[in-house]
Amino acid sequence: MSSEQSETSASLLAYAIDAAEIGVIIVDAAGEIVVFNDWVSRTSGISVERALGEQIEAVFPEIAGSRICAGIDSALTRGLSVVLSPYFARTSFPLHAAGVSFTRDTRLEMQQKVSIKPIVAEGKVVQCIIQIQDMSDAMHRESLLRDQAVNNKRMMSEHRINEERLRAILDGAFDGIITLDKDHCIESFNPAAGQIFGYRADEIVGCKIDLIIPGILELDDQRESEILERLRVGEGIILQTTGLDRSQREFVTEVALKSMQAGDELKIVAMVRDISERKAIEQDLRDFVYVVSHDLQSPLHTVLSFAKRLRKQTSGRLDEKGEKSIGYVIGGAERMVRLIRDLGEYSRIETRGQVLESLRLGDQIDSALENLRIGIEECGAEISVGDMPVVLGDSTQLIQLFQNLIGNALKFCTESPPQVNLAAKPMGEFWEITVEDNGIGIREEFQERIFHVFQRLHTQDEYPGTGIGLALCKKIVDRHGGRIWLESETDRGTTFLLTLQSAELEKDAND
Amino acid sequence: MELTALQLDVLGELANMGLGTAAASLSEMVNDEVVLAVPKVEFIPRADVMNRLGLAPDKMLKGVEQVFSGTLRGHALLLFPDGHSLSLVRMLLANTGMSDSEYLNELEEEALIEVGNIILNATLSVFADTLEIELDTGLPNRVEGRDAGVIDAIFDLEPDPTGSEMLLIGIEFSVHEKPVRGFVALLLEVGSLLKLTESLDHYIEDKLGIAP
Repeated sequence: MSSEQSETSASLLAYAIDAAEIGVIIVDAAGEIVVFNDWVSRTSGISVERALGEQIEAVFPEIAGSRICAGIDSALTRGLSVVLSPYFARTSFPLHAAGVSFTRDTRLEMQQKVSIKPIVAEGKVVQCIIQIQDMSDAMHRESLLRDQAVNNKRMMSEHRINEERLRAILDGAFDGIITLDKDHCIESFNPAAGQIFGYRADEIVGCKIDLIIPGILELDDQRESEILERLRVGEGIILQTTGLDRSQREFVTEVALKSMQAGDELKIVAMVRDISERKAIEQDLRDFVYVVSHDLQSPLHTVLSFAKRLRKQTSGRLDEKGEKSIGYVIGGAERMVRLIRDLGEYSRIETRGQVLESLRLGDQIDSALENLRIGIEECGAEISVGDMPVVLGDSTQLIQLFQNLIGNALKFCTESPPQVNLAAKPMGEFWEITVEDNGIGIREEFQERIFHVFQRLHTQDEYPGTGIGLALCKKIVDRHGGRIWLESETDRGTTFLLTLQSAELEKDAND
Repeated sequence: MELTALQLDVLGELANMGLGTAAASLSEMVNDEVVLAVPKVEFIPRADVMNRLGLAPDKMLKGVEQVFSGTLRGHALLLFPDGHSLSLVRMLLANTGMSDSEYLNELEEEALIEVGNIILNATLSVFADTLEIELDTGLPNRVEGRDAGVIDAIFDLEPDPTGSEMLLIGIEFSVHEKPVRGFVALLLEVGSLLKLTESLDHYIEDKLGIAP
């Protein structure tokens, strides 16, 4: 190699070292810096001119006594190579990431990987090369990844706990709980659902819900049912429908449906209860009430009419005691007729109910007042009716409802003339209707009881009645999807509150 | 090539001293006693190195290798059965708050290289200082493999033309009552042996006052 060539390659080498994107410092056997590349200069803020020819500890007093110095020493004196990783090194060069503006006081310390290697020529260590790699970004990334990993692990374990808890709830539930994916295929099927339908979860998962509850979400012609639309807007739905078990036996089920947004998918949770037994019992009870109210009526009418005839025939011929006895017979029989009639009405609320339709509530109240006209006139009651909304209802039953409520107000009055105020105010999708009177009031401990059949708070002599009126009211309101309750203060009056679903009049209806 | 019993003894003694120095640094790092076993010094075929170390045959081994050159040429090895190195890293990081399991696997490599570097340099320094010879080391490399695979990996790039025998100077160490067991081995190429025996004889004569 000519001296010219060697000069060229030396300057090329110097250029390469300066262009390197790692730090390069070369120290000679006397410990003086002979190469201090551009990267080190940039990241340390120390000019090349200042560094060259100096002892490394003079340029970087911060590393005095550190493992870096020991490493340089062992490379120079013993020819040993040393690596220092940023994870364990306690001291590093006072450098900061290139490209970040800094002053020496406010520097961001760079995480470095330092390697120190002897340069051996003719069997002797002549220099050592110190290479510095900026590990800040890598370590930062690593630490983010680690945090993320820790986080993921934590979330996974929380997720697992939640899942286990949910699993325990599902497995232990009395009701069948089924979840459906967006295509209405069964995703999960708990043991109670298995009991109801006779399938194992692994047999039924993936099948359409129509296999066990036909027509609930899709109609026969594959059109979506109206239920689905309501679920989409977040409505919870409870309905009775027909379930089909493994042996194709049909049974009555009560299904509660609720949608659930899982990511982009709208899933549906169905809670299913086999209510065939309950239905059978209810039917038995209805039959019983029907039999009672019909079959008891004719012998009772016989008793009543013959008692009346007897009173007529013996008029003036019986002593006072005899007259009184016949009076008791007739009174008792008449009351029993009323009882049976009311009981019949009560049992017919479900069975004879009409389809709910949009009604002007004001019209229904007017009809009720008309039916009560004689009573109102007799006691001189003042009735005020505020603006009434359009609600969803069964006209006959609503008239009966208000007739009972207003009738009660007239009946349980104090000495002053009864005053009854009816008002309505909106409550979301419902209207709250109040019927307020100035009557005798109801003591708090009785307030819950009075909605039950045959619960009477007074003797027949104080206030006549069968004890069915308010039970009837409750049943009517229940059937209308509303709620009824009361607020009362003894001797100050009672306010019955009830809710009815609001509605809009159909276009050509009664306008 | 054969070494005399005395030469072998001296080598064993040097290995003990060398690793003793390394063990002292390691003790300090893990804050626990490091126990050294009796050194092994023998000529063996390259393929038998792992067997002779008796370090969990057929198990994964992890460690660090450093080439050394100068008066003697060869490889210095620090090896751990898989799992043991992780325990060591856990001990090293015990006070840093990074010893949670999430960190360990990632830091294992870095830690091993650094620990290996310290231990192997310390061991080699003792040889160089005592025998008054020149030993230069390269930067440490990570090695990992199963049994003989480790040795093959180390020598992969430099087939040994002088034959398959080499001098193994090895010593096993463990950390007191901790599941950390490792092995430091110096594998000398046969080509360096003449220089080694010269150095040993010089030492024996000079320091021990015994004519070789």
